[in-house]
Amino acid sequence: MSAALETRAEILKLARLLEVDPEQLEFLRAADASDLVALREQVTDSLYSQVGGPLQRLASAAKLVPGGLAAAVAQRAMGPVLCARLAGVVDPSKAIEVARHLPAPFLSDVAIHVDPRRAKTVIAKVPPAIVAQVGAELDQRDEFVTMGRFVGFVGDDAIRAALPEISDSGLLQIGFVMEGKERLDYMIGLIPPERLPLILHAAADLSLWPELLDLFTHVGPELKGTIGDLAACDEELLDSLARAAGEEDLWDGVLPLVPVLSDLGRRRIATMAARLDEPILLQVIGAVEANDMWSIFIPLAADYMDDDGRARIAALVATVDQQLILTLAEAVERDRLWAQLLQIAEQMRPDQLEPVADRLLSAGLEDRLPSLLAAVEETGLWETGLQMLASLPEGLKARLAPAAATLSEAERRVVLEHARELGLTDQLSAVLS
Amino acid sequence: MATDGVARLRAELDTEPPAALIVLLSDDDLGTLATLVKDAKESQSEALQRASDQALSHLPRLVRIAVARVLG
Repeated sequence: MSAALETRAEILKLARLLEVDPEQLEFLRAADASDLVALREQVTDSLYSQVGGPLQRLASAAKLVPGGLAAAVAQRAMGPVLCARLAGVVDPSKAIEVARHLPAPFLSDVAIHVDPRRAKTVIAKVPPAIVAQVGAELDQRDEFVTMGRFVGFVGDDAIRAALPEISDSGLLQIGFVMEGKERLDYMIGLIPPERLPLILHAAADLSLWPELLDLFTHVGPELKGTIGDLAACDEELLDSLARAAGEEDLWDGVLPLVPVLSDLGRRRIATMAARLDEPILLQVIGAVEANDMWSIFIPLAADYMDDDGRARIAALVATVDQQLILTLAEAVERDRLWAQLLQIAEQMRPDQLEPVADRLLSAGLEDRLPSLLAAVEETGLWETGLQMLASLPEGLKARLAPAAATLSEAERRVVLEHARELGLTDQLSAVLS
Repeated sequence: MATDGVARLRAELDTEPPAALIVLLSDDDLGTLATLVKDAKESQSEALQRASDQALSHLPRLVRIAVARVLG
C-alpha cells in the first residue's frame, strides 16, 4: 500500500475510534502511518483505562444473564460502541453465546468499533458461519478497513467460510489495508485459484494497479509468479497494467515481477514493453536506471524481445544521455550482462554503436575487455563485439593494448581471425599489434 | 501558550504522544486531537452510565437485583 493510502486508512481507523468524521482529522494526512498506529493504540489504551472498572463490572454482570437476554440488552441498551469495548473484557464463551443471538448488521456495527488486539480471544472463537455473515454485511458496506483489522485474528476455518461471501474487489481492498501483511501469502493461498483472475480484473476495473503492485512486495516469489503470470498472460489485464504503469510511472513495481514469471509471462511482458510509445519506453529505462534494475531489463530485452523489439531498445539506448550509459556499463560489468548486451547492440547501426561503445568501454576499459571478449565468444556475435572495439577512438584503443597483451596466444589468434574475416584488422591494429 | 496543545494531549493520553506527530503538527492541531480524545472519553463515560441504567430496566426483577449488586 502506498504511504498515502496507509495514512488514509489509519485516519479512518482513528476517526472510528474517536467517533468523529474522518474529515475532522484531515490535518493528520501528512503524518506517517506508523505514528498514527501508535497514536491510535495510545487513544485505545486511554479509552479502555478510563472505563476499566465499570466495564469489568458489566462483564461480571453479563455472566448472570442468559445469552438471549444479554443480546436483547446489548441491542436495546448498550449499543455497538459499548459492546465493542465489552468484547475486550467479557468472558469469551459468554461473548460467543451472546453473539449467536445477535443479527449480522448489529454484529457488524460492533465489529467496526472493536479493538481486535483486546478481543482476540473472542474473535478467534467466533463460529465461521457468523464470521461469514458479518463478512458479507461488512463487504456490502465497503467496510474493508474493518475487515482488514480482523483478518489477522480470525481462524482459518472462519476465513474460508467468509471468502465466498466477499466480493472480488472487496478481497483486493481488504488486502491493501489488512494488518499483519506477513500473513498475506498464506491468506491468498486460501482463495480458490479460479478467483485470482477475477480479483485481478477487479484491480483493473477499479484502477487499483498501484495498490496491487504494492501488495506483491509482501508475497513470496511463488505466489508472485503465479499472480504475475495471470496478469501477463491475459491480454486485457496486460493492456490495463501497461496503461496504468505508463500513466502513473509504476515501472519500478512492474519490472521486479519479471524474474519470477514463467518464460511465457516474460515474453508477454517483453512484447508489451517493446510496443510502448517512445516516451513511455524512455520512462521504463529511466525507472531501470533509478532503481538499478539493469539485471532485469537487459536479459528481458535480449532474451525475450524479438529483433524489432531489441532494435527499438538499441535505438533508444543510442540516444540516452552519457551518464545513463555509464551506469548501464557499470551494471553490465558487475552483473556479467555483456552477452545479453551484445544481443541488443547487434541491432544497432554503426553510427548508433560508435558513441555507445565509447561510453560503455571508456570507464574501466582494461577490465571490461576480457569480459566483452568472453561474451563475444559465448554468443558468437563477433561482428558486433569487434565493431564496438573498432569504433573506439584511437586513444582508447591504445589504452586497450596492454589488456589485449594479457590474452593467451590462442585467444589472440581467434580474435585476429575474426577481425580478418570482418575486415577490421586495420581498425584493431592499435589493440592487437 | 505555544505548547498548550501537546500538554493537553499528553494529559488526555496519560503518556507521551508519538514524537514525530509533535514535530509535524501545529500546537493547535495537537490541541484539537486532545479535545477529540477528551470528548470521546466523556461520551464513552456517559454512554456507559446510560447503558448500565437502561440495561437494568430490560432485565427481569430477580436478575436485575443480582446484576445491580454486581454493578454496585
